[in-house]
Amino acid sequence: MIEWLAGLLQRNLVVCLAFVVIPMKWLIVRVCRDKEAEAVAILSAPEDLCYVVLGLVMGDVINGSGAFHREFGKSPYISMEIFLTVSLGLAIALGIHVLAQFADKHWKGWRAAERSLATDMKPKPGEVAIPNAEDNFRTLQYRHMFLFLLGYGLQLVLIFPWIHWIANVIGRNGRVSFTS
Amino acid sequence: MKLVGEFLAIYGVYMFGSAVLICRYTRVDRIPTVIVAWLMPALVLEALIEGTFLLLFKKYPRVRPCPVGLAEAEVVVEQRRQKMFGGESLPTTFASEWARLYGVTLEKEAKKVQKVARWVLATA
Repeated sequence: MIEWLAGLLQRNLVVCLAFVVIPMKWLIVRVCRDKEAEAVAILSAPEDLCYVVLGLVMGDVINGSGAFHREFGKSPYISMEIFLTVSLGLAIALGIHVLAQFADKHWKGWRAAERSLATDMKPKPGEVAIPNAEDNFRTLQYRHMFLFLLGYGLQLVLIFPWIHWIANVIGRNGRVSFTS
Repeated sequence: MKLVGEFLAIYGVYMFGSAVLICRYTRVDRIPTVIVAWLMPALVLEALIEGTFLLLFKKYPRVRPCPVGLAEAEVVVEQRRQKMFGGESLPTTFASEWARLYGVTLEKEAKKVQKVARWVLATA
């Protein structure tokens, strides 16, 4: 039973990771009733995926009979192949972090514009009213929201081929089999 | 088939994340915003294709004038962001960039009009 489950997980690694990283993490934070942490949990999901996959690669590489050693076994440059795989993982982590910074900046802008719509519509004493305040705040809110979604989506676009490939390597060369 | 399943799982992460964030932190128009957010990948693709065609045929999009008060609103939002999240004050460039782009569009159109005017005067 355990082997069957392990094999199933190994063959559907991407789907399992996606399920563990977002809904489960969100559910745990939600149970703890921590509203701000909910946002942080969701915002950091692509980076989490990236580091979980990098951890899988590192964990597998230190094992001499691991999936990556088997995958690159026929190559005369096995050390170089493994070095490049880990380096690529680090480069992708770097790219995702840059995109996460972009997304975070616009996430904060979106929240601030949302709050301004509720609190800064009327001018404070001694200040001049902003012309078309509601329209302008809403324009800024939607701009920040869509730039945030773009940054968030691009992180997932960047990570998808990477985890697809890693999952394929582990799935092809994994040690768990259905027959045992 | 497996690739499609994996793609859907990652798209599911996007759908779930965007829906939770919008529903938890937005007060109005939640459902339409969530739907537009889910369609964002298609919108971005469409914008990329349209942008490529516009560049190929050198047809630049018409820029509308920058709304009055946008620059002030941007400053207020930036101050609000600093109050809420702290950190350094970031330069506000959206409204000024918009106004600059509109100015460039006007200049281009004025040059076109000048060309036509010169031709009309020359042939008159």
